[in-house]
Amino acid sequence: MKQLSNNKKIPEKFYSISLVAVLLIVWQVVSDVGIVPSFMLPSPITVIKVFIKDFPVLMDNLSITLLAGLLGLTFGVIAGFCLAVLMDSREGLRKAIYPILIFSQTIPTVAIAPLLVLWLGYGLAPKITVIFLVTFFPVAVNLLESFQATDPDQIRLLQAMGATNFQVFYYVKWPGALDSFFAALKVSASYSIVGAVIAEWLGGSKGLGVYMTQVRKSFAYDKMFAVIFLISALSLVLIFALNIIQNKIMPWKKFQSGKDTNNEEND
Amino acid sequence: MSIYQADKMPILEIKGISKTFDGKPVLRDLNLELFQGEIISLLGISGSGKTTLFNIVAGILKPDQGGIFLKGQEITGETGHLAYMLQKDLLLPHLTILDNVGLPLRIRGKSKSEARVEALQLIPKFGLAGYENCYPAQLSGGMAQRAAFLRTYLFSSEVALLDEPFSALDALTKDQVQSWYIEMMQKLELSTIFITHDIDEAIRLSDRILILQSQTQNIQQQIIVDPKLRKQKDFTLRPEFLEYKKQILKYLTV
Repeated sequence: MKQLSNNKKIPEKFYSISLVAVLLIVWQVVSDVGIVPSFMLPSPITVIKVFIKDFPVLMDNLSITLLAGLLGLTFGVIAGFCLAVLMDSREGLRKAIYPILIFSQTIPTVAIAPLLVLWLGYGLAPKITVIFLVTFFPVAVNLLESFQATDPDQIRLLQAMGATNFQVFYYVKWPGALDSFFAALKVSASYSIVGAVIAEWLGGSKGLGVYMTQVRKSFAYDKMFAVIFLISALSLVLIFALNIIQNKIMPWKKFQSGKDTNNEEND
Repeated sequence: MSIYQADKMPILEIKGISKTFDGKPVLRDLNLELFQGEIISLLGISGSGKTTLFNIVAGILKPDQGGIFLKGQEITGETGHLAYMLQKDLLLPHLTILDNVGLPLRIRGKSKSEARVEALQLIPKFGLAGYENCYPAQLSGGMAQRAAFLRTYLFSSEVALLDEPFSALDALTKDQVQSWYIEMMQKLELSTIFITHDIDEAIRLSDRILILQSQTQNIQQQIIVDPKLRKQKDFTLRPEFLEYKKQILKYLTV
């Protein structure tokens, strides 16, 4: 019975993969027929060829961007975590910091990036700062919300056992927040790469953003597309890696979702 | 052997507890004595009075007046002495059953392996053999409640405070868990204060039923359930059971 239904079932990814394939074919045709001039919209095959040809150059620049991205992300995540713990521990701190935190996100990153370059120079520092600014927020807000949503009865039970605040955090709050932590981390990881590229647009000697500016100025749009694809791919790889780590760290999760599918089967 | 023994010293004494929140008295001069191996039910307590009383007895809250004494020693405002079990099983989803039940030992400062060894010894006694490495999401409601009860027992083997522990279970599971619970209580001789709104449950499980006045939350009536009758298998179907129920209903509606 089960096998039969499994064979008949179309895999979930089939739909999205087919749509992507259709879009790529349409794009290729549009370029080939000449509806859009090929220098403005290079065909997918051209982009792939350029990607292969420029691979060493791309990888060289990628390593710089990745370094800035990961450093900024690390600082951002640590800061976001500390801020969330701090705001959760004292009601007054939460009330004081939270509005500023929200307000800080209304400042456009692209607008302050040139200022950061002015203050911190053309090196790694302004890039890390930009990435830090875009990545700490999702982590801080998501974690804080999870900490605050902890079941008060669960806290009461641990307190009755004589648990310290740290033990309540270690056994209840932090494991309970892991799900949203990873959700935030995935958002922040893709922000970190985008943030790094934006910061590099404004100055620097190497990196995908710098390379993008150079190829744009020389109207090499095929190379431009190759970089765009590389950046997307990089974000996907990071998210994929985080998914693997999450499944390793949270082995109990598969049983929780397993319970849901059981219910579905019963229906 | 759980009979009201007036000549013996109580294991737990609640003496003259009063608590006011924002000028509103929630508890006023509440007195209660619990004896070794005894199960007392509190009926008719309000929602806020219930939580406040258990928070005070468990040491999370300090009373405005009065004190809590465990075997004659004052423990007012001290946590970690009395086991506490709530309506929800409150098992931590990220820990296995073995680590969940051993949590009170970990909180008390024992190492992970020490807690596991100690918990593992009791796992079969509580009917959880074979489930020790499962996560709570893999257990049925009744099994989860058993695990929660074992955690309560590892927390304190002397006195347990049970806050409507069976009210979240469906009727059939509830009946099974209650029968199992009665059996366990006789084995463990755990002294228990039990808060419930279920009159049948109170009669079935307790040695003494205390009925609280709705306004002042003071104990106004006490019913002692005959232990011989309680041991009968068809107790809940007997006329004596109905007699107890009538009596309680009369007091509650006054």
